[in-house]
Amino acid sequence: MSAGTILQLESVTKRFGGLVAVDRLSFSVQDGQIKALIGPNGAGKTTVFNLITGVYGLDEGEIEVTGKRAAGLPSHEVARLGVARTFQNVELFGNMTVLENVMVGLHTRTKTGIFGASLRLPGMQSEEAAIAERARSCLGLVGLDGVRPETEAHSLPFGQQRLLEVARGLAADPAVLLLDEPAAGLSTAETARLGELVQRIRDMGVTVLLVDHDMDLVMEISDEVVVLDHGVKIAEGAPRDVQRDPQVIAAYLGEES
Amino acid sequence: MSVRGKSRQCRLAITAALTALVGWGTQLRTWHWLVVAAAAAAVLPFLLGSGYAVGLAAEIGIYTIVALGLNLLMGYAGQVSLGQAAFVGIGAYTSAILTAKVGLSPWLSMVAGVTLSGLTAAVVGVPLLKLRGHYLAMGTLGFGVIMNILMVQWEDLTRGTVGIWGIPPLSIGGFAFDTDLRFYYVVAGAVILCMAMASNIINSRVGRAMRAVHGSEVAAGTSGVDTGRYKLQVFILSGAMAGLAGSLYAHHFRYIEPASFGFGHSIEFVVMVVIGGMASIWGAIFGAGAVTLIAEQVRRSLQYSPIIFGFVLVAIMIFMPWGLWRGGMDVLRRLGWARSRQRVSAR
Amino acid sequence: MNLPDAAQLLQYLISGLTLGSVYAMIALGFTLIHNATGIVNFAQGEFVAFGALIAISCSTTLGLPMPLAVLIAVAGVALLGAALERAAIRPARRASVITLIIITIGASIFLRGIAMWVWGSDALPMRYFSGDEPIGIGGASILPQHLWIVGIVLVTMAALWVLGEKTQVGKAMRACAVDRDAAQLVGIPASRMVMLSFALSGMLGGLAGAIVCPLAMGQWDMGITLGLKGFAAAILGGMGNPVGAVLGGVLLGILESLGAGFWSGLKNAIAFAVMLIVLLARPSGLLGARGRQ
Ligand SMILES: Nc1ncnc2c1ncn2[C@@H]1O[C@H](COP(=O)(O)OP(=O)(O)OP(=O)(O)O)[C@@H](O)[C@H]1O
Ligand SMILES: [Mg+2]
Repeated sequence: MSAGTILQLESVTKRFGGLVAVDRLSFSVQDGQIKALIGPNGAGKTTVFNLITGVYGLDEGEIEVTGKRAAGLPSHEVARLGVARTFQNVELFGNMTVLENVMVGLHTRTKTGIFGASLRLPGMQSEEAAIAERARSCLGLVGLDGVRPETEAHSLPFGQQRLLEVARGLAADPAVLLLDEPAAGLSTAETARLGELVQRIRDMGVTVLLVDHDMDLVMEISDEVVVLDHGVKIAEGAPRDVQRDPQVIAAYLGEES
Repeated sequence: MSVRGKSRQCRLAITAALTALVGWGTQLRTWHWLVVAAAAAAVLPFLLGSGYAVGLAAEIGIYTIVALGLNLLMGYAGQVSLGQAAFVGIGAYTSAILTAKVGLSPWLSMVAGVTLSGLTAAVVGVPLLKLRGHYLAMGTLGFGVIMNILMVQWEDLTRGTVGIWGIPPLSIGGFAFDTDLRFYYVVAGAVILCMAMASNIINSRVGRAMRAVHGSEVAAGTSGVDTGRYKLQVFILSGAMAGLAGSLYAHHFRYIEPASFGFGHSIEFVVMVVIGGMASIWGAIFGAGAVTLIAEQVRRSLQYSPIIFGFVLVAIMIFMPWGLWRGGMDVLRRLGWARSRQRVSAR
Repeated sequence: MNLPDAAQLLQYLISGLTLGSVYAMIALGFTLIHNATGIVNFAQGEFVAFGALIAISCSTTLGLPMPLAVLIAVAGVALLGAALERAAIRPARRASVITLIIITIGASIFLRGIAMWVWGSDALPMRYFSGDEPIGIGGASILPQHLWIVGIVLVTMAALWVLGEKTQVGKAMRACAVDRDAAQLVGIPASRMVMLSFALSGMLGGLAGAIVCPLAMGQWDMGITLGLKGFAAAILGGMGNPVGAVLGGVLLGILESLGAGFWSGLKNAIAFAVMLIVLLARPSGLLGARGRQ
């Protein structure tokens, strides 16, 4: 494993009953990359994200984040290793405000406990101010500075909800950000802006692992692509090469017929 | 007739005063409401006049503390407890036994009551909170029922259904809080303290983590929130607050029996939270007040209270899941009768 | 604590089996609704209470013949179940779990209030279905009512099995339970199936109440305990599993009856202790749950 490896999967397997959703999958993501994970519906992409982030326990294999073992850890400890993510079916804290959603993203970077909080100690107050400021700047980063921060998250339009998830993920300044179909349901113009945003995030030093069905977006912004079909990796490489791979073409054609 | 007419007036006055207080409070930001609340609580007894009404206000205050804790657990963190009365009972019995039977100081007993109920919450919370939704509801219910059976059956300790009387009043030096009015101020102080604490927690890193668990447990986890830990913390907090209320209950009525801490009361606390408004600090007073006053009214006349409570509960959950207060405000706002207000939790 | 002799033991077993069959029916009611909607219906116990109280009114006050009284009770509670679904559950179908929990709790409080309003707060007696002459078996004695209860429960279960396995409606209901959206796609009216499951569940509860009240009397708040014990039985067998519900009911009944023989003060705690232990140690119950929330 080279020094610049941020995320490494080694022979990762996940079964649901008889279904092998992810089958001995290995790949790695290098520091500063935008890496894409693509495949037809049901290929196992979301499952891979759930395995990395500890939402599911894996059956076999190893996962390492910046050289530290992540397999078998609960979600919140994986987050502490520097992994943040968004969800295919947006998972916001709908009962909280836009700003508060992003503030939760800073949980791992802060430390006020229940006693400090209940007494509103000075240390807590200054930390609170810092959290709010950082959260505001993250909202600005994803282009949500026009939204009133006290709006309840569930009342945002869908496209903005997706951006809010990105802001929440970025708040903790993660080593790697996993984006699950961020362009789904977005207009062409919105998708183009999203592409720029992802590149900007990469330029800030956050490595990105991207799942999306929008091939134009994926091919344009990613440095490397992994293709998954029925849980098995069928191709990996530069976007150009992957696009021409006969196995990949067959997998996608198979889906259409 | 004139006595009944008078007490009805008193109850009307309490309701009006509390409603005004809640209305004003929700419009304010930061700590100013604390001052307002303290001032309002201080003058309330003079508005109420009769000792009976002041005693009732103290009782409402005691239930407010339970409802507040349960609202942190249920309204904010999204975890149901149908066994909250058991924690109230633990607080009450600890205080009663330590003062009336052992002869310990009431204040120390109160500390012991809060500690023991919090500790019990910690011990049962670890396994129970692994359950979700309906199963957590049933698990906490089972715990509550068993604790209540224990209060009846463990006669050596609790004197069973006979109950424990002769519980001394709280006192400082030679000054005993032994009238309704004096005790009312103790309760008011405790309520304001608890409300300040709860509001501080809600608007902090810890409170956000708890609310995030409610919003999406998965996303809370991947954002770095140790969901199990925060569920347990809020469960302990709500148990300890119920215990505090229980201790106060024991010193208010000076007599306790198991029937006051049964399943029906656990449900009543849930009703208070729902009527007052899930995820609303002020709602706790409103809910506790509404439920206690309706129950008190009904106890004297007809046996309608379950019909009313049941109907209101279902209707609120279907039409105004955020409670009567917020739901009502929304309706008024839609009609253009009230100015729009900032979200409370954004302060 | 005193050890019972063989005859006493037999007696406990008999009353346990009887009680257990009633629990089994209530547990089946929980199972039906849980499978159709994922909801645990806290008003299930009130179905039982209404079954008992309606039967008592029909038989004692109106002087109707027993079979007719039971029939009216069952039909009435079935209607009540359907009405509950239509009025309180359907409007909140997309609501959160916590909302649904509170709704069914609210419904149970409401129904209890109605029961107290209509029938008052005293316990009401009910005639035995036939005779009160105990039949002696090996030193133990059985009331004809015990036989009635076990017999009716067995017949009901057989009928339920036929309904579930052999009829079109039963298959449609089971399809909805497995995957509501998929069932809807193939043309099964899912929302009507949900209503049907509430009606059926009401029938089971009502029948349970009607057959048990000659032994236990009928009272406005009897549903609290019976409902909770039925739930404990469902959990013990494995929530959502009909066979488990029956097994759990019978086991719980016998356990309670034996336990009460040893230590009467804790009789009511047994069901809750069992429920807690199963929830914590093996939440899927004896036979394995399906569709847990
Ligand atoms: N919790 C689960 N239980 C059982 N099966 C599951 C579960 N989660 C996913 N699966 C199955 O695993 C397979 C992979 O699903 P996954 O969601 O990872 O696919 P995906 O590549 O993200 O698809 P899409 O592009 O549609 O989002 C599917 O067959 C799915 O049905
Ligand atoms: Mg997916």
